[in-house]
Order: sequence, then structure tokens, then C-alpha cells
Amino acid sequence: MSQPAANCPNCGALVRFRWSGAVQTTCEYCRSILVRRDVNLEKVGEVADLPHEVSPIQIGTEGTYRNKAFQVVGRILYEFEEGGWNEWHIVFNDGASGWLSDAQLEYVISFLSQAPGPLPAAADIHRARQFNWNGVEYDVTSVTNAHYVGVAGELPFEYWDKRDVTFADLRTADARFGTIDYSDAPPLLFLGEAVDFDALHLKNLRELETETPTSKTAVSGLQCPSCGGPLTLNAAGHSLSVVCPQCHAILDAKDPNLQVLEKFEAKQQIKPLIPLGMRGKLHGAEYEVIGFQVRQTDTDDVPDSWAEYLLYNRFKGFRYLTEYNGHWNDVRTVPVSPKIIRMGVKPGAIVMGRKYTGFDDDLATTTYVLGEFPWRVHVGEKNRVRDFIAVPQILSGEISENEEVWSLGEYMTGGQVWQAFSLPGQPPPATGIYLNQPAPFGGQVSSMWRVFLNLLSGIILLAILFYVFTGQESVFQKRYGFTPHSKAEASFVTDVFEVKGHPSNVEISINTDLQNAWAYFNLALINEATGQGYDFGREVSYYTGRDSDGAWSEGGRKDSVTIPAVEPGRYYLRVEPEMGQDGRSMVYTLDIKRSVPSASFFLIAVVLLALPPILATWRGAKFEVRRWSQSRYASGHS
Amino acid sequence: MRHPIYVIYGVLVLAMLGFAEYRGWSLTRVNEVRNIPKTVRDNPGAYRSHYGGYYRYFGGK
Repeated sequence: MSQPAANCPNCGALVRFRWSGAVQTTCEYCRSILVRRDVNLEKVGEVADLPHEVSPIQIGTEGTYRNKAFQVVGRILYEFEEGGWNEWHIVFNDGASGWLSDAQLEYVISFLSQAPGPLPAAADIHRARQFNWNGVEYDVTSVTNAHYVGVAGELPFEYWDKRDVTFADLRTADARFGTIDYSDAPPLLFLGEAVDFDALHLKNLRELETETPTSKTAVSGLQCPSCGGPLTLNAAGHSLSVVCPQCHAILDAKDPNLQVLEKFEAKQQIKPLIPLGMRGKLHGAEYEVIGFQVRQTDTDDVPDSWAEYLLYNRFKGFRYLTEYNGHWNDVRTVPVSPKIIRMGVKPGAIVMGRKYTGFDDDLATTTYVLGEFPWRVHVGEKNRVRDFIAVPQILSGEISENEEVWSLGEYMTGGQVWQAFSLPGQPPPATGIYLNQPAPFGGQVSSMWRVFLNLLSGIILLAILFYVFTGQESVFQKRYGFTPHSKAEASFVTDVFEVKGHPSNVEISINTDLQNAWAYFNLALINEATGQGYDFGREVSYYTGRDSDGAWSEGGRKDSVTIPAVEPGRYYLRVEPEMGQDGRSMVYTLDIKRSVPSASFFLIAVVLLALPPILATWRGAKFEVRRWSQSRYASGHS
Repeated sequence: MRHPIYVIYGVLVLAMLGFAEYRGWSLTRVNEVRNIPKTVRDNPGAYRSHYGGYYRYFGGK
């Protein structure tokens, strides 16, 4: 980057340009605003007294964006009713120029862009208006009438002596950003994206006086003008309202005299579970609790209230902890405008490619405030609040006439909050089910079923092993005949056969040629050496015929019995058949096998293995039914 | 490893299944008789089975 220089026409001091393309700069010595006219500099005004600086960024700050290094060379400062913001002019190593917006420590990088179509006039722009540029849907999320405060450093155009300027901020579902800037005619379009502070790898940040990230903007020793009580501003410069803890006066934090804006009558003193001023660590950064408010909805005329804790870090900005009946959420605002869709009968929202299911849509009223806030708080203020969930996350939108702000929360347990803030004692127990509370075994049911499938494949392998490779060794087979009229002794013993190997079951199968007859077999499997036997009987009967309903049959010609855990040895079978005295005879086969796999055990094993995931699925489903019964979109909800 | 308790439980079930199949366990019970006289081989009719004297219902549709 070349660094041309020139002398200030007002004081003669050397003015060095960080960026050769600068059209306007300021003299660091006499604070003149200088504009380039050909090769000369012309004084067009003087830098106004800028308010107490709280941004960590300053002219000279360096960083990277998309692997390109940049340097902050200029600045425009705006204020509006709800606060102020900086537009930091950044130049990249390749000479390109862009803007780093810093609004209450939320950061956006944007570039001047050619509008794909004509931009509407300032009078025609309003919240929720949509634009589709190059296939991307932009929603107008806020229209701001800002007041120009001042400039510093180098700018790519002449910009001074401005008054009030209208800006329309545009967001997308994937954190892209746009601004229509009505400071010029025709209006200018800037497009870019929200960026995370850490992702910018900023160096040469502003050094502030005190020690810790949370206390650098603290101002103590203030007095409430209403009751004289002591006050401290922890986020001075960012806070717009501060509430006196003694008299509940809501004061203008931007006013050096802390003008009283309103007072509210608290029906009862509410003591925050996390005291104001307490510091804790979330996501690796230290945050301080600086504000507390209670809000409620009046669904079905039943007040339902929750608490919101405002947390502050000088670099990371603001985030919130919300608490309802012992359920906590870690919440941060997200620079998006969700794409609203239908998900069956419920509404849905898509943010950064993730789908959220609509849960609630209600009016929330602020009922109690304490501490300080970067917005104008009003007790009794109502806002439309829309909640969408993708457990354990919750996407919430606060929608007013001129602005919509979206935030993303993640469920936390009281224990996690207590640990983060090193709070003494135990957190209040969580009661009921919260809308984004993870279900028991939440998110684990599907993985549990995957484990089940792996175990099932183990069962299949065992079945292959026992059915194909090791089982069913035939040890005896013989065919016999039986005639019930015979005067000969019906009972007989078979030849001796050997059951080898390890103790195993023995299956004895009887296969007859019975037809409309029955037979009964008294059987005993006897160990030739020990005399130990297994005594049992089996009936085989088979009847068949035809009647008015057609052909029928009953019973079967075969039966079998399995004797468990038979020790190896030499065995024989005592057989004593019986039949009815109807003159018929039969032929039957005795077939004896050892080590016959039992399908029953495989089925029992499958059931036993399926029980835990079935139980988890059932508990999860029951939990979801209870969760959704509280939703505005539950069937039967009026 | 996810669900370690379930995995341990599942491995135990599989081990039990393998053992039951190997040892030839059965869900049915068969009457076990000790000391059946050796004469039964020569005179099978002398042995009285526990299941003798069978009486049956003559079924059919």
C-alpha cells in the first residue's frame, strides 16, 4: 500500500494517507476535515467532539477477512434513538475498500455494490419488505432514522456536514447482510455478511483504562437523580437505560445527568438468581451480568413469566441467559432473517440451513427490570415473540413495528449455569418440560438403534455359526411299524447309538404316516452306562376331511421333543407306541439328532436386545407428546 | 463408545445366547429319571413310564 502525503492547508502538519484512494481525511493535529481537490487538500470542516469511545476498534486496527488482510483507515459515527454505531472504513492489501460496522459489538463487513434493480425511495421502504437479488432473498429487518455524529480518518468519498440519514438494514436466512443508505441520491446499496469478532483476528485494538474485559467500560460513583442511591454503569457507552435498584427509576444512561425516563411500581422485589455484577465464563469468554428483566405472556389468561439476564463482554458484546422454572437457555442475537416455511400444520423457519419448528407465537410483556440495558427499557412494553425449536436450540424472534430481532438459544441445565458463574449452593430444580429441553436419551435413540443393528448382526453371525457350521449331527435314524391288534409286546428298545462331543441337546423326531388316526409314544432316552434316563411322551394325530366349509385338517403326522444338555455317552431309546383300537396300523420313523440350534433362543435374544431402544423410543415419544402439548400449535390448542 | 451400558448388556445377551446354544439348553423340560434298571434292554415292557396309561380326547373337527 503506497502512502502519499500532503500538508494540512489549515495547520501545515504533514498528513499521511494510509490509502491512496482516499477522497477525504482528517488532520490529526488540528482536527480539520480535508478533501482532496486534484493534488491539493481543502479544509471543509472540523471534526466534531465525538462521544466517549467504547468500541474496541480504532483507526489503525488491523485484521483479516476471508484470508485478506485489512486496516481500519476511517470512520463515520451515527446515533439513533436506540443507540449508535460505527462504520469503520477498511482497506485491504489489494487496495479494495469496504466497511466494518460495529453496532453494540455486533460486527458486519459490507461493500458498496451495484443494485441489481432500482432501489425504493426512503418513503417506500418498510420492515418486512423483500428483495430478491441474484437469487438471494433479503428481508428488511429495520428502518433506522440515524443522526450523523462525525467522521474521522480517510473515507472513499466526501462525507461531512450531514444531518439525519435513513438506513434500511436487510438480512437473509444465512446471515448475509445489506444496507440501503439514503444519505445520497440515488441511494447506495452495501452488501456483505455478519462476522464474528474472533474470526476477524483484530490487532491494534483500543486500549482502555481498567483491567478485565468486562470492566473496561465501567463507570462507578454515579448517583440516582431520583433517590440519590449509588449507581454503576458497567457497559457505559453501550447502555441506553439503567434502572436504580433502590427506587426503580429508569434512567437515561446516555444523559450525563441520568435523566429519569420513568419509574415503575414493583409489586414485589424480585431477587435475580444470578446477582447483578456476577461474572462467569461462557464459550471461553468472561461475561458480567449487567441487566435483569422479567417478562410474561398471558396465554389463556394464565400469566407465564420468565427471567432474562443480560450479559456483557467488552469485545464479544451481549448475550442472555433466560430462566423458566429452573430451565436455562444461553441466548445470543443472530444477524439473520429466517425463511419462514410450513412444516405440516406448523410453521417453520430456516436459519443457516437448519430447520426449526414453530412452537409459540405470543405477546410478551416486560414486567420487571433491574440493571442496565443497551436499549430503552419500558415496564409494560409488549412485543410479539415467535419461538421455533430444533432441540436443544431455540430460535426466537422479537417483532415490533419497525424492527425484528432474532436470537438463538441453547438449552442449559441449572448446574451448568451454576458452574459457569461459580454460584454457591444448588440451582433451583427444573420442573416440567421446557420447549427446547433435550428429551431423555435425546438424540441418542437413533444411535441406540444403530447399536441394536450391530448387535443384531452378531445374532445373525451366531445363527450362521450354529445352523450352518456346527449343529445338527444325526446320531440315529430307523423306520418302524406298529399294529395295535398285535398280541406282541408293544414296547421295544432301539439299537445303542453314541452321542459324542460336548453336552448338547438331543432332538427326537417322530414322523408317521397316520391318516385320521392318532398315536401316542411313551419314550425314554436311556444312558446305557449310567441308567440315567429322560422319560417323556408325545402324541401324534392327524385328521382330515371335507364338509360344507370345504377341506379341513387337524394336527400333524410329525412331532419332536428336545432334551436339553445331554451328556455325551452311549444311549438307546425305549419306545412304547399306542394307537386306537380301530384296526389301523402305522409306519413311523425315529430320527435322533444332537446339537440342534433352538430358534427360540435367537428370538428371545432379539427381543432382549430390542428392549432398551424400544424403551428409549417410548420414553422419548412420551416426552415429545408432553412437550408439544404446551405448544400453540398443539392439536386442541385454542 | 456411545451407550456403553447398552453395548455391555448386548454383548452379555449374545454371550448367553452362544452359551445356551452350545450347551443345548431348551425351553422345554423333560422328566429326568435316575437308575433305570439295565433289564429294561431285555424286557422293555417291564419298565413303566411316567407317561404310561395315556388317555386322550378324540378330537377332530
